[in-house]
Amino acid sequence: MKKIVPTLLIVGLIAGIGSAVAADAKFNPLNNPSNPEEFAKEFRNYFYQNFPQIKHDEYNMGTYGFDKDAYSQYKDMMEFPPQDDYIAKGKKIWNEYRLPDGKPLSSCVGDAKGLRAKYPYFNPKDGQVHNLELDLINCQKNAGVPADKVWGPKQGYADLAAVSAYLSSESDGMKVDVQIPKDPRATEAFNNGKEMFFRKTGQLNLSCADCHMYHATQRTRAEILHTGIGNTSGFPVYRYSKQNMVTLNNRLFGCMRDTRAIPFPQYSEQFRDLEYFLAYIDNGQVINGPALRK
Amino acid sequence: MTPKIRTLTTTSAAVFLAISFAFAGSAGAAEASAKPTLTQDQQAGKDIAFSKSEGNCLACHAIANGELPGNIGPMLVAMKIRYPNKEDLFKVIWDPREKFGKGIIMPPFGDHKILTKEQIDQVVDYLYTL
Ligand code: HEC
Ligand code: HEC
Repeated sequence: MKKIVPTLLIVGLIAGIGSAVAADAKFNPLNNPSNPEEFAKEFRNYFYQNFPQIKHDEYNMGTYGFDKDAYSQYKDMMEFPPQDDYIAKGKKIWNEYRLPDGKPLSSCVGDAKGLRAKYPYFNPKDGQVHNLELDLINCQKNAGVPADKVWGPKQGYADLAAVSAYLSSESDGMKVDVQIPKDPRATEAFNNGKEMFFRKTGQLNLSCADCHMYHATQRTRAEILHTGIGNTSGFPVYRYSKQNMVTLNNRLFGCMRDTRAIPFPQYSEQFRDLEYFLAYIDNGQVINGPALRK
Repeated sequence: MTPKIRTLTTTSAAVFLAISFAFAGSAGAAEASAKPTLTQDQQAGKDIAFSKSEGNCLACHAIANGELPGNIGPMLVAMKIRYPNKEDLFKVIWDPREKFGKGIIMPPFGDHKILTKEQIDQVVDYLYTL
């Protein structure tokens, strides 16, 4: 303690000064409301300019792409990747699961190979953003699976997350390629997600941007904050601390609850729009799920 | 406190002061037992500041003897010198948006009813010991 206290003081001071700098870069979330492509370019440039230490193709590793200590812990955890069990379990479920009409889930959403990479997408038929896990759930509902057997946020979640992990592994190495078609509803969905990213909410008055943009790479307690790029590419992720496979929707729900807001319902339009925004920003990043996080 | 110290309000001055405190602290830390005991209010304020479910100031600020502090906000040190007027310090915690603008990440502890007025008073009492 004798030595640690003064060192901490000084480190804290330097870090404190650094913090003001991170937030200084000018960025206006209201830019380009009708042109997501231009906006995404500006948004990514904010990170490229402020964090030159992060290589473009390492944004998909979350905090492990820029923090050496975290990366070496990550290497240790990856000695025996806990994701593998989930992939195997998910594959089995995917192959064996039958809807009431006797057909597999692939009859509803298509083959496993590359399926994850097609999501999220905007469907002009219903004007909605589609999320992979919700589409699986809707396959069950539409095929008449009884309500208590449908994979929900609680019941059947482990099966759903395992299938999600398997499907992610079947798109491993493909690039995120989210399209925003020329449909005003698609642009609106993107802008709605963007607004969610920048809007302060909850009792703690926090926005996603507060943590993952203006203060990215800094620490809340021992948690290093990842950046605004690569939010979606590794999902689902196995979280060591929770000993659990976590879907993207589940993670976004958790982050929102942590601001002490009453979160929107799981898989609601709001969360799907947020996912659409985040995934569009990730275009060009390599899908590397199911990833591992502490 | 000399008038000279009281006029030191710029960040660089505060930082300089804080660093000299830090070095002074390294000598003092040798006799950890000589640490002054806190009054009841100060201790209550410290508990609030350190607790994850209440103030959780450590999430963002380094505070002497606080473990695993975040580094989002400036270190909380030499508060009495930087905020000679207690009311100003209270106001920053009640609603930091007034002083730092509405984009600030620090939650408005009083305005959003995260802490009560009494709790913030206790936190201020504690910060004055830093
Ligand atoms: C108080 C700070 C804070 C706020 C506000 C916040 N997050 Fe996070 N978030 C974290 C921390 C800490 C982690 C874990 C470390 C990391 O990966 O950054 C995290 C993790 C995540 C992850 C997982 C990333 C991965 O690679 O595993 C996603 C996705 C995410 N946040 C998105 C969001 C979104 C979207 C919002 C807004 C709804 C949000 N966060 C709001 C602090 C915050
Ligand atoms: C989510 C992050 C966060 C939390 C939690 C937080 N703060 Fe802050 N605080 C900041 C930031 C960032 C600043 C710096 C504002 C600036 O300089 O623009 C700040 C500034 C301050 C200042 C002014 C310091 C100065 O140099 O003038 C005080 C005092 C302060 N915080 C006290 C507290 C207390 C007490 C708590 C807990 C009850 C707390 N903070 C919780 C982020 C936070």
